Amino acid sequence: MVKTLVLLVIGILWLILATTLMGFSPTYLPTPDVVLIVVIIFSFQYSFSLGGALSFLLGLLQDILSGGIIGLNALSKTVIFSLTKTIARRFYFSNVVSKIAIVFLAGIFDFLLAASILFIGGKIHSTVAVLARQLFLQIFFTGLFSPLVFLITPAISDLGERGSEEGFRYGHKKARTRGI
Amino acid sequence: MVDLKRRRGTLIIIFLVLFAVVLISLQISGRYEGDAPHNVGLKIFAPWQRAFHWVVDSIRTVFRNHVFLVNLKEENRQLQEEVRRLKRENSELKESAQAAERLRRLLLLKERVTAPIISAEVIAFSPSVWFRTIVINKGSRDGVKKGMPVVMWEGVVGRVIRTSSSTSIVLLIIDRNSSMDVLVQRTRARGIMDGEGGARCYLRYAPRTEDIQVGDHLITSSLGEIFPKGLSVGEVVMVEKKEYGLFQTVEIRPSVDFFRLEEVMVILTPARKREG
Repeated sequence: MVKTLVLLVIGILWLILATTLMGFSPTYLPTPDVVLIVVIIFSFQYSFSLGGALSFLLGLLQDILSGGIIGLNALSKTVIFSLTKTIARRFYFSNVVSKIAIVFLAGIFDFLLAASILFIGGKIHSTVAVLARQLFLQIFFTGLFSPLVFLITPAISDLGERGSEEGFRYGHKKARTRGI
Repeated sequence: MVDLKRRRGTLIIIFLVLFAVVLISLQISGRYEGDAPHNVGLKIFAPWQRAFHWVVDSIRTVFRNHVFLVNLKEENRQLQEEVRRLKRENSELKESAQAAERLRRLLLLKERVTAPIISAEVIAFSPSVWFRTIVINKGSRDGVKKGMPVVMWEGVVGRVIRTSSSTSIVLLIIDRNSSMDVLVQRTRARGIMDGEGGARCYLRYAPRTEDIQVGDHLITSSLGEIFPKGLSVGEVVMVEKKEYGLFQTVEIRPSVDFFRLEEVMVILTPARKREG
């Protein structure tokens, strides 16, 4: 329970940090989608019910802080969690490269899902070239930022309860040294 | 019963997805504005954003004031200390001079816009790639209301779309959902400028017959009754006229550098009332 709360609070703090740091970057960079990275961490650690609810909540917070359509990121992050959870059941992500790769793939899917919803709702007038450029920049910087989030978030959350709800192995050093 | 328990996770996911789809549909169709969750969210998280903003700004100030310190050598210790002190003073003076220059320009804008204006500090940016918004540290208790225009001395920034008691969310003109009526200052050609979500805007519905050239300056027309007339919007950087079609495509670089926003001004009276 403590670990769940700690991880949720960490996710919220990452989100708030992302909103305040962007204004101080030396050149224009897209804000990394930290919620996406935290949701992927949730998919490695939590069950469908708990992780899905947490992902929905973080996506909702992302919508609220952006001032946009409420539910857009809540929907996409919940779907991303479900897909990542389903895929992660079959594969063991033990290295940084795999984690970054899944962040890239999840980022592409997240972007395309949100773009589809906005297109259907008539909220997008951009050309494909503009969208493709924005997609590339967004997932590139999210992928670059992900190792930092992967490193810090589980380390802090381990201060709470240990062990995942379903025994799914997260590629963490301590898990490996325990010989699990 | 056993089956439901086992599928509880899946059912919860399906419920959340359906709930989100309903929320999105209601907002896109205009039946629900979503003000209440935004107000509650802003009230809860804006103080944290202010706190993070203060911490990050302090770290940046320390770096600016001290990062250029030269390495001290024993034989030049006094001179090095003096150099350090003067550099710190110089950096603080430069910061003060820049702040004074910003305020001077803000005052010039105040002279051009007769409506009441309040200054606001940008404390956060949108965490979502789909919405180009900023959070400012002024809200309803400061007189800020939905729809009010937000400007800088350089030009138009956007309009207020959400408010809480102490903070507000501003939709930038570069956002996909932003549209405004503009004039080409030289020829008075009119068009609708839309944001694309990136660093540029595009002029739509500018007839092919209109004379628009690279370098032309765009200003607000006040036709949308949001922005005062005559405020700088941007500069034309690309014009594309096809052989067919009614309109030409015009790419615009906004006057305001949206990735260096620190202070903005909110015009407290909409243009409609002022020119009434």
